[in-house]
Amino acid sequence: MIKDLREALKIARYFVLYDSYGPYGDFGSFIPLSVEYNEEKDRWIVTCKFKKGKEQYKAKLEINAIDGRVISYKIIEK
Amino acid sequence: MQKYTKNELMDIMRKQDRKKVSIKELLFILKDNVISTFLDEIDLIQRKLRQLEERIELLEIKYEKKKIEEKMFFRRIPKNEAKSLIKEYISKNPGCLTSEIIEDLRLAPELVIKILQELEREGEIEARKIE
Repeated sequence: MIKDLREALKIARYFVLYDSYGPYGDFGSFIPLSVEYNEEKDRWIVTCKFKKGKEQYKAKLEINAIDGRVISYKIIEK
Repeated sequence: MQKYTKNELMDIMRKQDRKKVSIKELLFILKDNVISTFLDEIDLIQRKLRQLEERIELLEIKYEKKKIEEKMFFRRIPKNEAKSLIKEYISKNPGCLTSEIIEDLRLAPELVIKILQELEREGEIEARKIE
């Protein structure tokens, strides 16, 4: 069970930079913009920005607080 | 068991002085009265103890909740305090990433970025873009 903001951010960073289902953002470019916990759905919602090559992206991730899996990933700005 | 007030007891003692109440009777009354007072006090202490236990339980719940909440949100601390924490973190972890500062110090991203820009302007740190 993830009840720590720090853990949620680490999961988001790992997903954005290294996960095979993620966007493979450039190393060191991940910057969290906001983090909130949705108590009803038991999910962490992380908004972040990262770079991939010359492009900069803003993305929104939803992390299941129960098992720590990223259940949704969406680019909201490019 | 009859309970007497202080005045009533004084009255009984005065009667005993005048030999209207026997010493045996007086001791009996006093004994009963002392026991009754003790029982009342014990009852009062027990009630207060229960109240205290309930309050401690409530405070423990509140404390646990606060501890969890503290971990769920970015810390709200004055900018100066955040600045010195960031400086200390960087001196201990040279070459660290902005995201690591945000994660490890649990500070709001916009505050961290603002402070990092300030520190760079002041010549305290050197920012490097990752190619």
